Amino acid sequence: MTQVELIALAYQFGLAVAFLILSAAGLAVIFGMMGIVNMAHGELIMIGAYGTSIANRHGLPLVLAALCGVLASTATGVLLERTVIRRFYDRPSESLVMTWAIGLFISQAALIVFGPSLPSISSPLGSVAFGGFSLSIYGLLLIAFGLAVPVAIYLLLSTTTFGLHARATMQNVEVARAIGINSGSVYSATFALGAGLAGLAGALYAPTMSAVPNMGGSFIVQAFVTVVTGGGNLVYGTLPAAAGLGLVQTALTAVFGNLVGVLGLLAAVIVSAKLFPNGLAHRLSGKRFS
Amino acid sequence: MTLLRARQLTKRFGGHAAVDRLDLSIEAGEIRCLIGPNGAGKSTALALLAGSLSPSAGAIYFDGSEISNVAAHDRAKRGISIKFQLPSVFPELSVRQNLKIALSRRYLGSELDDRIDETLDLVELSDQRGKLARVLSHGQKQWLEFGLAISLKPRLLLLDEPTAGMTPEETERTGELVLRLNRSGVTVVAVEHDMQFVRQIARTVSVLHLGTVFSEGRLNDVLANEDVKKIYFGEAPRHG
Repeated sequence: MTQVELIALAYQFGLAVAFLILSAAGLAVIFGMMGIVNMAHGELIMIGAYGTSIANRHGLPLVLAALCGVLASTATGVLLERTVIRRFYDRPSESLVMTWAIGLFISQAALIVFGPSLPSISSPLGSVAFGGFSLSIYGLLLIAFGLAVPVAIYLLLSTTTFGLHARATMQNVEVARAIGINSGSVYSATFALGAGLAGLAGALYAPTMSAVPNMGGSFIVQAFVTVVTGGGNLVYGTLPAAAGLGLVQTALTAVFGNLVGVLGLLAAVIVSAKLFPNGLAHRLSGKRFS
Repeated sequence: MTLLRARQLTKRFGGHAAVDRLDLSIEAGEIRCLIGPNGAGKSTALALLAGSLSPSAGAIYFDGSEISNVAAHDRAKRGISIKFQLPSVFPELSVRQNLKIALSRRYLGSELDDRIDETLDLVELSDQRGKLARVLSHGQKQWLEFGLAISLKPRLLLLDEPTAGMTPEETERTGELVLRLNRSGVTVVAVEHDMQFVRQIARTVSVLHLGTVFSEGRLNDVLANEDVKKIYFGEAPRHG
């Protein structure tokens, strides 16, 4: 294998890992911190992409448009948490069905309001040629985001007052309330954070794919397999899970093509679930959750 | 001055009234122990006072204001602090971080660090400050939770079986801590089974039975009461 081929493969690996991390980050935060399996995660990603696409079409530069997409999904997350989700905190099965129903409602609403698809956004920043191989600069940006997001969330949870209050609330809500922490606000903020991360994934990938009502489906399988493999901790779970799964998928795709790459990804998840039933995070840090 | 008053306080779980028309009045500066057999409603009453449970009926007044529907975190801000029956700390945070959460609501910067150190000394956990709370012994967890409760500088401290699982030595030290806090102006209401501990800290006890106050007075007088003895030996006279 030549050096160029190696770099091309590393680039593909970086893209695969970034996609897994960015797809899973919001889901991991909400599951890891709150124990809620958010089946509407894909639709929150879609809202991020739609917000970005619509704002960009109305003349906003892509960065500001992406910010609009993130804000749209965050606002949706706050609204959902305040009106529906908070009634199901101690009922995980019901919350799973409820968020699934919310997801269906959102995607159908998007279909009715915006039609079957939105005009696509062109991919920015161009590309650089590298020994006959072309690297998208935007792809490199996605890889950078894929690495930066878990680090940022880790710092948020470990160094800020919000992070300390959030971890305390998730570990023992009764004591948290007893020492004056408003657990309702912490839950709202945590769900909003997860929804915002989902929106960020949608906003970042909006220029790379068609904005359609069911586009969340393109993310949701990868998001769930990453969280199932890693557990709900972004640094000790999502990051190594995405690296491992990304490696398997990239290697198999390079040799046998896309179909075998996806099948290999699913096989790796099954093997990992068998070896580490509590997730990699539990194995690596003793923590299942954040 | 009456600091806390419960009037006809009731908590029903389905058809069962765990607390049933409870009337209780606690003076500022008092140490009151709630005693009684298992299932008398003591812990439920404490949870109602702290706001962990909502009453089915009745009212709670703190410092003259009704707080029946005030959320637990707001009661904490008003000066009501609770130490739960089982050691309830944040297991995946260090001992220092546990105290930091509670103290950071009142202090910042170097004053925060000073207060954390002071509280660590008070609950004798200075040597354990960097350890995760989950690895502490049972008694140390109890003391850490004491630290959390008193970090808030409460006016009223609610203690649910504060010495459960402690050695006699730890129990006595806990009693000394409670008396010290009380001398600094903290009013204490404690649910407790250990009569040695009750004798050490309380001047007045209330005997709860079937969710309401059955008898009240000095410990020796109350325990000498024949009806109270029957409660403890399972031949309780029923309220009419």
